[in-house]
Amino acid sequence: MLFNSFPFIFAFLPVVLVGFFVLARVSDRLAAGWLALASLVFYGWWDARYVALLLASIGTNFALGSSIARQRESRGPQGGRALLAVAIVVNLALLAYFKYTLFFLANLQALTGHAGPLPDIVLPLGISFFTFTQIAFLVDAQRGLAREYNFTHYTLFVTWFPHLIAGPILHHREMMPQFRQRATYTLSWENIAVGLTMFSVGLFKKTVIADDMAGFATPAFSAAAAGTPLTLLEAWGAALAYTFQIYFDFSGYTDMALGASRMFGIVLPLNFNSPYKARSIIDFWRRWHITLSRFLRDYVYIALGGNRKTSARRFANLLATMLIGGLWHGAAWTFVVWGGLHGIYLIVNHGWRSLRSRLGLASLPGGRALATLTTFVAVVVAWVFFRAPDLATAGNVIAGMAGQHGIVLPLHWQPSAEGVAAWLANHGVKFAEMAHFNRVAQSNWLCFLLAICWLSPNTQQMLAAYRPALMTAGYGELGSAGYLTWQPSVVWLSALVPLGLVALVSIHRYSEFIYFRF
Amino acid sequence: MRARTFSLTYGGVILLLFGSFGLFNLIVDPFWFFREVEIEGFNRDKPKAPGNERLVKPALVAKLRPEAVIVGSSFAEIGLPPLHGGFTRNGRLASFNLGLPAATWNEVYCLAMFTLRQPHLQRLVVGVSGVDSGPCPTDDQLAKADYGKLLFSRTALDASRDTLRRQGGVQAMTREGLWYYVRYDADLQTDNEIVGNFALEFRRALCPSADELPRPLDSTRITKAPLAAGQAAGLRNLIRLALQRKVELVLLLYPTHVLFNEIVRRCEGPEGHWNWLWQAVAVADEETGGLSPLIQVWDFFGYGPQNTERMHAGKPMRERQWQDFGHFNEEVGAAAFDAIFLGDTRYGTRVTVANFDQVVARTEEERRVFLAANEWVLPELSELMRRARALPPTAPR
Repeated sequence: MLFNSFPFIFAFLPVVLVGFFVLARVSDRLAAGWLALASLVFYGWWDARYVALLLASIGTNFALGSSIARQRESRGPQGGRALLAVAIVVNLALLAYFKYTLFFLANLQALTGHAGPLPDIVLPLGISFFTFTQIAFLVDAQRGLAREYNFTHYTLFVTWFPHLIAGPILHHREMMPQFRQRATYTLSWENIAVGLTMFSVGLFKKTVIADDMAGFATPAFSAAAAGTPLTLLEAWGAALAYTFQIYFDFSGYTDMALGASRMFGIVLPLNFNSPYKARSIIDFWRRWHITLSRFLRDYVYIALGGNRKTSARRFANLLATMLIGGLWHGAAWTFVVWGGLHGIYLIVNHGWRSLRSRLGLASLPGGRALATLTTFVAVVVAWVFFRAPDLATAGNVIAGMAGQHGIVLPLHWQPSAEGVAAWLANHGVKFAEMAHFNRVAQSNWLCFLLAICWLSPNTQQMLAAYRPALMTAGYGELGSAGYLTWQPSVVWLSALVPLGLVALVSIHRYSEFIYFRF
Repeated sequence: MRARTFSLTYGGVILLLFGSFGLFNLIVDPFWFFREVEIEGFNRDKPKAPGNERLVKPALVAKLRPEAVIVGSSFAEIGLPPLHGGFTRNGRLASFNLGLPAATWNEVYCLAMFTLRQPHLQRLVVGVSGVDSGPCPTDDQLAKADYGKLLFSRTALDASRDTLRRQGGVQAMTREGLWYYVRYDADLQTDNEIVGNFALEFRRALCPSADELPRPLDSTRITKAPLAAGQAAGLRNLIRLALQRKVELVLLLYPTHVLFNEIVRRCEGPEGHWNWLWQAVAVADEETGGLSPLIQVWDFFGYGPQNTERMHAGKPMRERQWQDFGHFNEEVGAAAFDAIFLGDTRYGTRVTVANFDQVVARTEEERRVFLAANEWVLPELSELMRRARALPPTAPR
């Protein structure tokens, strides 16, 4: 079931919400069980067969986690490490089977030149998310950080429908106390109002902005995949359209997830904090998919040794972590390159920081804006690999962005450029009808969205006074939204009604969230 | 404002507006699906029904349960009249045109199979442009209307608004699904404009050998070898299902304009049309064990008066028989239906294995006589090729 669908908005969500608070009057346990059951229905809506897989994964991990915790309790800090290793291997094997078997076999066939039929493996929805969530639980159990072992709460922690399919990746210690609190089971109109606001804003971002951007990005990337060389403007138009599509898609999903959860009184961790405002790639990863970033930091980068060894080792750890992060997103070389690029960006970023501090270089005037712009361009280039179906397509788009396929401007601009026409022609610039760049709508949208991403506060900042999300230490704080600070008022109501209505009537274009694929 | 008031007001207003929105689209009914309210000057004309056929037409076949249906591409949608007296047995059969613009053969095949499975169907005309079959959506998927899009979408709202604004103009489509296409387009009336429209369609058929005079027909190049069991599976499935359901099935090869015939003759060879007509005829013969009154193959390729209208006819579009070389108007379709359902022998031929060779020979003779008597054909062809080649590669329609 999709958040951006009528069955979810007008049937599933209200029924589950009402049922929850009615049952909560009888028993907290019953209400928690209702939410777990509803979450399984939510998951099963896609394909009921995989509910069994999800339940098996939950049952196995709960049993393993409990055993690991008992071993640690009886044998001290080293207790349960062997079992933890086994448990992680089991989880990764499941993920590897469903997500990477085809990739592995296809590459093996390509290497050996022996083509054969590939098995028909369907990737269960959200497997990367519920696997990582549970690996974190197992590690926390061994570290003595996961203290509560209530099966209903654990099932709810893993299956909680707002996060199940596309995150945020939850920490046991963040969620279990909320499931235990009596306040969670008491209807709060403030939670409903905050949740409705976040959900509506998220829906608007998804159905209006992200889906419109897809209308520009998809045809251009399809053309590139079909071998059409994209010219400079077309290639940048496509890359930027996808840059904003994925931003508003994921940001919209996150707002909806946090909003839906908040209506039930359950606060999810912040996952998205205006990433295109980042002044460096390090900063970007503290703002983009924060819960994945912290997972990779806590359970991969630190496990590999982090920055405790030499600089070279640290950089190698960074690269390895980002390559794993890339592969986590999908079993394709394009994701590996995307992860690798971000790994290299991070190495350059850390290297530059260290060099700057060693040389004692001061900030230049306009340096912040330049840093934001540089980071943004680096991110845009990397998104091309993330979006492209294969490396050849990515290469086509990147070549276009570098001007390798010529510079063509819209024919409509020719009269305005008459004064410089000769100069442009001498530099190889042509005017023609452009098949993959919409001169008016795309240009206007891209400029508008860039301004929004760089200048406006985000949803969580607007709602900061109402604790819209759990904050993660080391991942920044929510700044103030100034005069855009949300409060239950007539003004906000007047703004939200048209926004919600436009978002609702834009739902008809069925489109999954990009992160559902991971 | 208290959070409770905020939440309840927000939810209430959204529900109210959203419901009103749906009700508005239901009443205006821009895609002609609900058919609950139809008021002259308010919503009787449906300018936005064309272009949204896929959203409603298959579901309408399940909803309206017509007994006589036409399935095909835009050629069928524009040219085959669902209210033709012969087709509807003088109005005794409820009829519908399930033609879809730019429909591929597989789409037509899937829709025809879906229509054949409808319980009330008695008569089906399929515009044939292929013989094979591919994967199809399920009947449930085809019969299911997307109420979200019909009632609660921006598309529906925009279409409703346009519907209200554009009443009293030229009708775009009939209740039974016949589309008028550009017949009444005010910007497309002079010969010059109409030739431009021909050229747009023509561009796709051009090939490097288009300028050369075609070689004469070589009947030995018409392959009449028996078809293997797996060949032409689409036609076989249609015929078998029609026989099983006792539905009268007409496999109709669309009327083609002489300019199109001539360009195809130059690009695909003079035997192209006959090779694939033979497949259709042979399959029908095999599947019915000879002649069955239920299954008929009709061909409207040729050089008769309905197919030979000049581009430079000095007539406005609304009075013409052809809108471009692929899209014929309902007058041509009516002549075809006269032949099929009323026994008029002046147009088209019911083709069988037995009369196939005669049809080929007769058409060749018709062509010879026609070209000898009509010196305008070759200059018009050259003019059309010149116009088609001069078009920019992505010229909008």
